[in-house]
Amino acid sequence: MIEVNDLKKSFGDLHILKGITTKIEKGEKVVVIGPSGSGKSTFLRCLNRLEQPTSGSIIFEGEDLTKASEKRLYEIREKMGMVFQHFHLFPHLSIIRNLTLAPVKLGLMSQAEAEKSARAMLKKVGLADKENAFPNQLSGGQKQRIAIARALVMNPDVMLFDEPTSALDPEMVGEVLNLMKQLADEGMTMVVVTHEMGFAREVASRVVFIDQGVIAEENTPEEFFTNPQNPRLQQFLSKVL
Amino acid sequence: MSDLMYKIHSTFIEGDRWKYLTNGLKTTLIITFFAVLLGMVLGFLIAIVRATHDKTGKMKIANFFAKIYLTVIRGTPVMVQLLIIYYVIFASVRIDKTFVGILAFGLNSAAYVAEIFRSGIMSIDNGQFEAGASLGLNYRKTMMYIIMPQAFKNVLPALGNECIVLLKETSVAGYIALEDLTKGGDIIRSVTYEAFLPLIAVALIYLIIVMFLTMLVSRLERRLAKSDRG
Amino acid sequence: MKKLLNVLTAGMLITVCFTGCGVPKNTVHSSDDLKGKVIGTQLGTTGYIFAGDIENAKVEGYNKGADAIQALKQGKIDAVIIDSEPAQEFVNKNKGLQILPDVFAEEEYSIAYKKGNDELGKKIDDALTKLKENGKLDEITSHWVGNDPDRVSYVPEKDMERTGVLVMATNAEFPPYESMENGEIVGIDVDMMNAVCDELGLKLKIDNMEFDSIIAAVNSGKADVGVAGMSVTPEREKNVSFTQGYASTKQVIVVRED
Repeated sequence: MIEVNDLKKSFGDLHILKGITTKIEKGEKVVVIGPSGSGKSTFLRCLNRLEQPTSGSIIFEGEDLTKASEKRLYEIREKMGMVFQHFHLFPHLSIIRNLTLAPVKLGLMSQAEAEKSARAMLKKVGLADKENAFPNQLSGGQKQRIAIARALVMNPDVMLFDEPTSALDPEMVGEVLNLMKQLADEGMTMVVVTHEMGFAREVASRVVFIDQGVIAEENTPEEFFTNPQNPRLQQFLSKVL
Repeated sequence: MSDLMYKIHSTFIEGDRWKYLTNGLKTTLIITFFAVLLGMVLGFLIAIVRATHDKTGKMKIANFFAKIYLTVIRGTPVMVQLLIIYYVIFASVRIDKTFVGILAFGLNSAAYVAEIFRSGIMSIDNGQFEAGASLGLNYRKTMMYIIMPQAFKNVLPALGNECIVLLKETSVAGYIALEDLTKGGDIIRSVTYEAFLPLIAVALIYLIIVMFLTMLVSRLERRLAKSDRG
Repeated sequence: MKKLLNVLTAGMLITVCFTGCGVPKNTVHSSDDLKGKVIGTQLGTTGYIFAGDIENAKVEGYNKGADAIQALKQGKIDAVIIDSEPAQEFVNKNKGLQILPDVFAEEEYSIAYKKGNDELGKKIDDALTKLKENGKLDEITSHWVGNDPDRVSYVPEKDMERTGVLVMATNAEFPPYESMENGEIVGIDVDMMNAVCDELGLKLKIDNMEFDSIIAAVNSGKADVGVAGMSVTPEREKNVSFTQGYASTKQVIVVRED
């Protein structure tokens, strides 16, 4: 579904990604881990071109994103849901309007259709009673669940998660991870950048370790955690586990 | 006391002199209203150009002209701009002076409004742009539905303030013989040679309008704040 | 956004075009022609008050006589009613203007002082009488009115004990009565007041301000006298006192040349 070939990204003289090649199949749940500053978030943000790659290609459903026109790029993004560390809900809109804004303004659904779909999503994330609330009235965990629902309303083919629990108070991490697990069980293709090793072990179909701008190791979670090869991965795991 | 009554009579009542103030007030309000309108529209467009350039690096040429415009307008006094528009740009034309006033004050205000709007747009977290983009909303739609509503609310007090400043700045309109509120008072002074009452009357009228505008702005602010509780 | 740029460019072109357009022909040849016309005056002059009585005329009060003349040259207005001596100065300095032979109204200039300050008023009045009798005032005036005045008509006495200061409020934009020349305020009013001060043993201090601020300055005590080619009207006499007249002048009509 997503094919990444020799992806490089630098900011001036700073080389963040130094050539990443990987393939994400439909239905896969790829968890990306790595020390801070390793380039894992940049990698994720390149996947829907929130960051413009310096070189390399990203083939999504047969189409090279790095060569897509601006107009086409936005259409492709409709198919790639993204969840941010800091939620980025729209504070001036009610929850239901947060969910319906994009599908309605993009002409994908009528307001009534969008609201129907949004209510279904709110029910799914367990926040059906909040449809008329505003983002600032919600807790962090609730906000992130709304952010996930907002991405889901677009009916994406893949969901990208950029450290979705890092900004949350510890007691709220669980509700968000549970929701993500539920999504995984439903067969959603997911790429998740996270520090939650438990989640990686339990949910991932593959774990990718990015270090110093390259994929240092990737494997099934069992192999990855029980039998790490790369010395830097061994060192990293010894610190976080 | 009877002296004061007499002065009030000679300043306002004799020869229907109060009409200088009411007619002047009308002119002041007309100029202010349309200048605010012109300033908002033009300032908004300039702010979009400037912010788009800041955010995306596009619109280089338009941004270049916008910057020149802002530098010139903000670097010169509004009175001088008014005189230049009347005597230089519209030289040899018999042109409606109210129009000249609206144009001069509107163009002037646009420069300030543009920077107010721009700072409002720039103050919105970049994450909001990214959230819009990740949902497939292009720059224009993100701007229109996500950024501008928030930016507008943030800059509302500054915009209200700009309206109030503009209202007071129109008092130099008399320099092109426009009979605005201030000029109305000046005319009475020139006839009666009595300074106190016309000046106080003019000041009071400005004050009342400004207080009224301040009240409107804070009411609007409160209404908008409702969508952003917490 | 390109569209906007095009509109702006077009707008600029149009304004440039305006600038180049011709000035309309003069349509005022006598005071009778003033009916229904647009007349410029200086606010606070009697010209402004008189112009208000002309049938259907639209009167525009400019802050300065020079602004009214500028508007006349550009064809924004049809005529300017202004005091005769300044009119002469303006016509000398600006090509393409003429003064109509019709005299609009005769009037006298006086010195204004605060109501109730009759002691000062009486002193100045007496000094003026003296200057009129000994011919000094005529001497001063004739120096300034004419084509090639030497611009120094009165030199204040040097070795004189002065017991105080007399502050004179004026608006130095009204030649030949008062105007700026080489950074100094000169003119009939200045020389006359120097002569008056010599009579009274006072030192003259000149405060240059906007014309419509002069009376406020006098009434608030910031200035002792207002001397700025001010004419007396019954309205004004209610709020400020005037000395005897020191110059008689007429309001004349300035128009573009035919």
